[in-house]
Formats: sequence, structure tokens, C-alpha cells
Amino acid sequence: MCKTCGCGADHHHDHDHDHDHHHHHDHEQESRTVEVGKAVLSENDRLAMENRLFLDSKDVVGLNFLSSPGSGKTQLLVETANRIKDTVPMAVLEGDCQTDYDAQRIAKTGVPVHQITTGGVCHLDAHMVAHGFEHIDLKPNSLLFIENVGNLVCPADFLLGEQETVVVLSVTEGDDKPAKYPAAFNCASVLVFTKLDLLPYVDFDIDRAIRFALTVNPKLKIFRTSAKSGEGMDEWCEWLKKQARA
Amino acid sequence: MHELSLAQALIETAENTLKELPESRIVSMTIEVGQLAGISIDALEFCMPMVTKDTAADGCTVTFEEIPGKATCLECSHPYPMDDFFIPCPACGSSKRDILQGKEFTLKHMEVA
Repeated sequence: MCKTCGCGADHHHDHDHDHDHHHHHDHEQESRTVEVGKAVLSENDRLAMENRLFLDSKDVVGLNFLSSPGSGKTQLLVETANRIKDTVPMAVLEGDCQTDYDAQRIAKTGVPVHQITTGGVCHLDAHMVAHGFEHIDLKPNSLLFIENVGNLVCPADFLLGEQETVVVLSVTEGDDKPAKYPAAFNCASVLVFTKLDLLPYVDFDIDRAIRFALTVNPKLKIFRTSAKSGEGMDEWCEWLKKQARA
Repeated sequence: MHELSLAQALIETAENTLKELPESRIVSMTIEVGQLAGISIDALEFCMPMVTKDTAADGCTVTFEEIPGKATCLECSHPYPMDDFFIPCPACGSSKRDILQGKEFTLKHMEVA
């Protein structure tokens, strides 16, 4: 039984009511309309709030990373870990549809990591993350990096309880992505450009991408990075260190 | 498909609500979907028969109501309709705004028997 949500083992669709779903009514029953007014994702939102309270109680700051597949999220986290792990305690939850390859890459840095394999589900939800907490040792005043499944659509709908939502955009993608996937950029608090070292070789207009992103969300804090060349990594890591509660 | 997860969450919400009631069957549901919620009503409609099959909502009628987007400009306080994220304030041109309405995905009411 899950302590967070009361789910039974790995199956959370169980319910304990005794009505028969297959019961066929062969007589006309009177019906009535009931007002519900409930947000459909309210159960996820409730679990996300519990996750947030859990993180707050441990003085851990969670960061949820959203992006398209292949934007360099894992490489950004590997390079970030190599730079700050000795000064700021950190841990990583890796979300992927299949395989633990990303967790293996993170593990090589020595940072605690747990892989959440969604089995095809295209996003992490608060319930999966709550169970992820059971597998990592969260130190006080640490940062928890949650790498969502590579997808710019669905993860935007599912709060995980994180304090910061980071959307990652590589310069090898289209500079109009913030316009095409506005919900992801609207829900984020931080935008990190990656693969800046490739900018001379691609047609990516970073100013255009920033214009689109700020139109969708004028509050975005923006970083320009290359995990390969190290460009912008100092500024990014300094900001992260400030997020960790001293 | 994005909407399949959302449709499943919708059925869970409806069934959890039904648990609190003496009735055992959902005859119809009315769902509010905000214009800025990033949800395709067509795709959601397509998923409904799959997710309701063999549940208390099997065969139920589903009605969707689209909620228009509304924002208030943070520069000049002008309220304005916003049907996508690229509409600047018509009064001053600023994109800084508070979104007041349009991100809903709500089970508004349901008919039970």
C-alpha cells in the first residue's frame, strides 16, 4: 500500500466500492444531475502538493526538466553534476519510456539517481514521482533534478510538486518551438538553451526563439549553455546554487 | 496521444465522484475545456469510448463546453479576450498578463442513475 496515495502496490486504479461495473439495467431508472465542478487533474494536483510539502519539509528544491527528446537534458545534468555536486548536494530522478540508459549516465557522476520507467507513458505524473522519492536519499538543502520524459506536450499538464519548471531548448531544433508548444513554455519558470557550441552551424535564430518564448511567458529566466564547450555553464550553476537552501 | 491520459484522468474523477453517491451509473457528463488548456476536444471525444468501456460510464453521453481565454494586462490593467498565447494587449501591446480564464479542464456536472 502506497503511503502517499493509498494505491495498492503498482496498480492505482483499484477502487473499493461495491457496485458492479458490468451491471446492465433492464429497467428505466430515474436519473439526476449532480454538480461536480472538479478539476480533472485535481488528484494529480493534490499529489503534487503533497510532493511539494515533502520537498519543503526536507529543504529540498525540485526542478522539473521538460523538453523535446534529444535536446540534451541528460548531458546538461551530467555536466551540471560534475560542476556542482561537491558544493551542493543533489539527486536525480530520470523519467523515460524505456531503458535506464540515462540513469546510468548520471550514475557515473556519482550523484544518487533513480530511473522511473513509465512503460510508454509520455510524461511523469505526481504519483510516479512520489514513488521515486522512496528510492533516493534526499539530503537537506539539496537540489532534486527531475528529468521528465522527452515531450513538450503532455508534461506541461502534470504538476509534479517541483519548485522550478525548466524548459530546455537546443539550438538544433526549430527556433519557433516556443510558438508551436506554448503550453510548455507558459508553464515554465526557466528556459535553458543547450548546444550553443553548434549555433554557428545551424539556422537557429536565438533572438527569434527568445522573442517567441517571452511572448508566451514574459516571466521566463533565460540561460544559454553548452555542456560541451562550457559556455554559460557558470551562470547556470551559480543560479542553481542560489536555489539550494543554505 | 496526450488526450488519452487526460480522458483516463477524467474517468477516474467521474468514478471517484460516483463512489460518494448512492447511484451506480453515469448517464452523461459535461466537461469544461479552456481554450488555452492545450487540449483537443476532438481527440478527447475520440478517446472517450475507449476509456469508458466496462466502467460505470460505459455508453454515457459526453458534452464539451469550451471556455474562452481571458487575460488582464499587467502593464495597463486592460482586460482582453485571449484565444492563443500570442495575443498581446490590444490597448498597449504588452505581452505581460495574468491569464484569468481558459486553462480549465473540469468535470462540470454529471447525470447519474
